[in-house]
Amino acid sequence: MTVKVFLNEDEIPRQWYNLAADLPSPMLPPLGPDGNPISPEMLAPVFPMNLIEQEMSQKRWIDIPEEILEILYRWRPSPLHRAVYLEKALGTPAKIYYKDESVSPAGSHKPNTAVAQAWYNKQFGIKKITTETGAGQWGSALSFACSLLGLECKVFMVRISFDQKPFRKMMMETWGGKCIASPSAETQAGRDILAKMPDTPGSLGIAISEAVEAAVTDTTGQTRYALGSVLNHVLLHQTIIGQEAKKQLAKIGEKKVDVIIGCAGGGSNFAGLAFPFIVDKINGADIDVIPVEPVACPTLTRAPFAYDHGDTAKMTPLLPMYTLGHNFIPPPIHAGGLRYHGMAPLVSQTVVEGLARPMAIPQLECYEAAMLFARTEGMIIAPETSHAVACVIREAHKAREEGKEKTILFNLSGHGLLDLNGYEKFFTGSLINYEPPDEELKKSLESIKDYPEAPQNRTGKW
Amino acid sequence: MAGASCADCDDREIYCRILGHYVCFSYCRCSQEGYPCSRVLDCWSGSINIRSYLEQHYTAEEMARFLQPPKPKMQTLMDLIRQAQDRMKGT
Repeated sequence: MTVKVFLNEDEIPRQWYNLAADLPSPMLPPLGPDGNPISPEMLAPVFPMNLIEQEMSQKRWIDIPEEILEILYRWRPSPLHRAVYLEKALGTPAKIYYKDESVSPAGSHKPNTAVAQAWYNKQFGIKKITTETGAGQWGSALSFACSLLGLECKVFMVRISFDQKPFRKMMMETWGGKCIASPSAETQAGRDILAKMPDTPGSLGIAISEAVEAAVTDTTGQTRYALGSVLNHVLLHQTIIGQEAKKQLAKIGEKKVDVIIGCAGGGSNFAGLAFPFIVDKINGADIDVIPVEPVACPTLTRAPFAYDHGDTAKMTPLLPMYTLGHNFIPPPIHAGGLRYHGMAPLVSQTVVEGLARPMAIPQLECYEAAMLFARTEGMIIAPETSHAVACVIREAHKAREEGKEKTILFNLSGHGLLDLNGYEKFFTGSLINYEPPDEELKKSLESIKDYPEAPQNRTGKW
Repeated sequence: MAGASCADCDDREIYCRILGHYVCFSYCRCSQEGYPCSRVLDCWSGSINIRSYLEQHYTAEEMARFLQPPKPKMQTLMDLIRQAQDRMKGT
């Protein structure tokens, strides 16, 4: 019985895969305030040029530097599991596999890009990296990466998270990261907020402001900023996940995957697993690719796709995204003005093209799935990961009803050992399902119905 | 529960997709520099009578402002870079 499939270090993929090179329709580019595409120089205050090049690259394959691989060997290649115990509990003919990204030192897929970003920054001569974090998963990952490369790491942690998540803060500090409750007195952005609201619990927006300011205003020029999802170069680094999975499946003779599933927040763990398979779909393979999101905030499943400009002075780049419109009063008339909930542009484009079929699942079903997973496969998974498992169970049931031996692959993006209070709420019955009612969305979308929408570049093939 | 008075809601918790942990409504209604988070309708509709709460406590102009969608990441970065550079120049 095959339960785990391993790759040796010498079998690790040696290139990242860039989906931007193969998208059937070109992605709509982010535009600067002058209406022209953003130039690399505009990002230079926050990112080193080597990462900016990756962000804008159209090259299909980008070599992974050997020094990065040597760091990744600490936990990569990550194991591929066959979820035989879950399959048995479900009575499904489907074969369920998952990549276990919880084995990284930080407990999730985040270090795959944290290590890469830290390395490229160091190559560029950077000595310090700043970032923001909420619960601390990304801050932990970056602190870990920086510690291995001798870089300073300063993490602006949202105050409310700083108070609620002491263990993640301790992880950062164990790895030498300096964790600062945001807003702080370290930046002008933080001081301005504290002057107005000294007791504020903070927000991710404020923390990002502080992290960016700390990088931009360092007069030595040796500080840059890093982020954990959404942007192209971050998704690029995560594709090592899907490429390893392909090798592992080939090793045990699995010729075809029918369904690929990943939870979708910013999109990086989904992209990491799915993009190396999406290229097969582009080339004719019959694969169902499903990004899963929580129902409470459905970015992909219910939002129109449009440019989001948002700035009345038209001084900021336009970015094409799936957005939700929730305005009681229509904003000033200009292109966009719709909501953006953080989905990566590359992931959004796969949905526009029909290459990915998004699904939204209510939270109670997700926790029930997580419980079943814990009691069969044994692992206690992160709340975000539970969305993927819930979708897997739905697909497994479908396979049983259809009598089909489908091969399902999903990304176990992280463990939930520091998120047990969510499980406690499930046990005590205090979780409820909630979903923005259609009437709410309709009312909001009516307010933006006259706004120009971004052209949806798609071939119509899928 | 839909229809529950928001006066009792401050201690109710919800999983915040932005932060990655549970937060109380008391946080959600002030996280945007004292105003509600732009996602407050998305997250709380169906749990509490959030629309009624907002209409009771904020003007239409305020609601239009704080319910504005957050900017995309790239756009946010460009804004913040410019703001930080202006601070350095003292402008």
